[in-house]
Amino acid sequence: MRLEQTIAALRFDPLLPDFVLVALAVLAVAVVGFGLWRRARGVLWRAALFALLLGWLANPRLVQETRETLPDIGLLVIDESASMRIGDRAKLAEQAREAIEARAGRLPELELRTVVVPEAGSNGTRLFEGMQRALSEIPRDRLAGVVAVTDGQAHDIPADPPFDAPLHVLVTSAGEQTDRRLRVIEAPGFGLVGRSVELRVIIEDLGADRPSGAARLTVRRDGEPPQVTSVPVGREHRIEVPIARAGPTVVEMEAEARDGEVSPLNNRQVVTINGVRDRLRVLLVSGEPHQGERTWRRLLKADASVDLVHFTILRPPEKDDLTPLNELALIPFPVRELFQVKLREFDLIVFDRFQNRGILPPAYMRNIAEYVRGGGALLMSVGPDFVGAGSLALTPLGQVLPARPAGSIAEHRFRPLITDLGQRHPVTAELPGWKDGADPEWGHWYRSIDTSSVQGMPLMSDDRGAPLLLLERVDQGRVALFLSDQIWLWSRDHDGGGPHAELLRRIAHWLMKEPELEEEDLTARVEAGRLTVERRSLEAAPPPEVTITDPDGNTTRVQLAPAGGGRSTATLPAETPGVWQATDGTRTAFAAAGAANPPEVADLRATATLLEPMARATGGSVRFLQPGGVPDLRRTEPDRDAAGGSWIGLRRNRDHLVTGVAALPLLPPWLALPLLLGVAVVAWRREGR
Amino acid sequence: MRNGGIVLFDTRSAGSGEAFSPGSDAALRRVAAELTIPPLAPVPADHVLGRAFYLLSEFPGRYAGGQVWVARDQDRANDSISPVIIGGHDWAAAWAVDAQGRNPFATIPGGQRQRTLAYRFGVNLVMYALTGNYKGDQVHVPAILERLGN
Repeated sequence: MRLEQTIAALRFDPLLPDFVLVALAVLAVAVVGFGLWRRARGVLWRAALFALLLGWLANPRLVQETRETLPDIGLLVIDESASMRIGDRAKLAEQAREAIEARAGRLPELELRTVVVPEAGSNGTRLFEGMQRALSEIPRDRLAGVVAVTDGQAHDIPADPPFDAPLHVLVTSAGEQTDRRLRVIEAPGFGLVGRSVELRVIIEDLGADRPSGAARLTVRRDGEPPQVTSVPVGREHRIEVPIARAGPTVVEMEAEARDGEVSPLNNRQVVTINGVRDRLRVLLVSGEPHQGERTWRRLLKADASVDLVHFTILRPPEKDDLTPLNELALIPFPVRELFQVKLREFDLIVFDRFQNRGILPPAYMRNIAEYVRGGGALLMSVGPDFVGAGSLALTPLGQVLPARPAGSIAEHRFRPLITDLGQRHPVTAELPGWKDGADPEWGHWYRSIDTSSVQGMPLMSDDRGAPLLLLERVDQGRVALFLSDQIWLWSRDHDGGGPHAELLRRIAHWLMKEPELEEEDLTARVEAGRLTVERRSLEAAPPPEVTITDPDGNTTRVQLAPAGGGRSTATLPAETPGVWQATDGTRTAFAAAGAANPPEVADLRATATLLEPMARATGGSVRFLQPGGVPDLRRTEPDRDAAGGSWIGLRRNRDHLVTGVAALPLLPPWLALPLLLGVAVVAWRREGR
Repeated sequence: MRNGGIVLFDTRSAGSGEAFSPGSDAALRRVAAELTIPPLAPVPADHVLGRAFYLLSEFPGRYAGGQVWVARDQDRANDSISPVIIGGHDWAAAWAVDAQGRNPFATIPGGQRQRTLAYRFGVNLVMYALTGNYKGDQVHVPAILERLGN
């Protein structure tokens, strides 16, 4: 800070009102003009007298200011967003910061303020936002210039310079860089099971002189063997992804690295597509009407997304009471269409106490067995119909059933129990009402069907240990056999009721291969920066360790902790975007972690191109920190170049604060009076000669 | 009723039986006050009750004529089943058979046809209780099959 005194201005403080002065001036001019016309003597002295008089009345003063000059302020902006972590950018930035702060400290009348632009979540680099915040505390008249140390990737560059001072950009690299990226143009979040969805992607070479040629694109879907295709750079590529099952399908795509590109971080993209079922098509085939029938109907009809085709036999062909047909409401069913032509369109077939009294020919039964083997879902709930001549076990369908009737019906009061296996199976694990080691909180049943040659997984049993619910996989398909027809007692709140809806829902979903009910499964998901690995297994052995591979290829081993119901879980932090992989030796699960800040990884080049126009517009400069190193700092005059070969300039603003003002009268009365009198006397004498 | 059950109220006072059971409407009102009775409407012509097994256009019991009432709105969660059926035809009397195999109550106005129809109503009622809206659904089967083709 320095004090100095300056003559700042000439000021008039008239002693009379302006109009009086003007009137006097007009009068004087008229009198002098008249004198000139008449060539009167001494008219010039008289004019001088008038001028002096008017001048005195106008009271001129010199204003003298006492000024305090203020130091200029330079702003140093350091970019510390995520993209600055690539390569040695952060190191270069730190060096630049130290050098500039040291050099600015040596310059007189310069105050350097440093502001850091932090990683800002999902908005990219908010370089100018950070700058503006700092500028709001700096008087604009004192701003000498802005020096930004950044990789050049700013996502909030305004159209016009937000300040009037040179902007110097120091880019943390040795020249323009190139970056190959894989960009997803369009990826549907959902896909119908059984159909394909199309991903549109493009490989782009940013910063390359002439992007051309082809690059290998590797596509992995849910851990299947990778598919490698050659894709032209810079042109849209379409990828067909078949949706095989409900639930998330993780697709990982990776473009091969380009020689010399700055980072392969954005060569990889992960897309999660949720497989959803279209309307669920269920074929319910029930036997003669009984109390349980409406339990199924209530369950299936209550869900608006279920298309239910219900087929039942109200009157078997051998019963005829001679009622005229026009008084009966019996409609022939499109049997051939259902059991032959459109059978495979159903997602689930339910047989409820159906006995085949010659109604469906064996060919249709064979169709159903084939439907199951080919990947279909069959749920059978059997009662006394299963024992006897009409039993479905005796039809070709019997080959896909997990048990055969022993020929007897057990009628006794019992509470359905969940077997040890069932307690680990997702279909029956933690069923509402189940109490480990105590009587379950659900009602009694009174009938079960004895079986022989049991296969598959017994999940429920009666009190004697006889199986009540059997699940089995048959080739591609799945079968569930309920060896009692009394689950409807639960639905009618008999004896307290039971979780019939939940149980039947889970059975149906397991049959339709919903991933969440797989009994042997390993899943992984990333939520809020944490990776959760969950393993389900029917084995009672303690859970194994899983190997986690992060997107960069580093592996860690994690011990899973038992979580009940056959599940075991582990969670760990997962900050790195990309595909996380977990494997327990037999199964592998993938989880997609989205980039925390997508704009940051969209373009990883360090570049001068983005900020160059802005820097030029302010009279500043853009330069790379390598190989030249940190440029010198100089002070420059406002109308001169603000940057040179090896230096950048900060403008000298000469801003000041006025601390005192003194007015100096130019015609003080002690001077004005003798002058006026002298000139008047001279004029009078000239006139009088 | 909440779990899918159906209650049949018979006031034995409909149509030709109007004079035989004084006060039954008041009794019904007293009983029903304790229950959650949905809004009611006369049985529409296309109601499943009229075609659950036999095709019926009226539901006579011991008495003929009069109105049968069911829930007005279709509750999809309950398979569109009416939890109450209210009539006054004294159906049980029409169905009754004594030890000698005779019908102890004469139908009014009478005739074997009326008794047959009363039995048919009984069969339909049981079918309705067991199979629910099954017959109502059959109308939609062709449309669903059509959709399956795609």
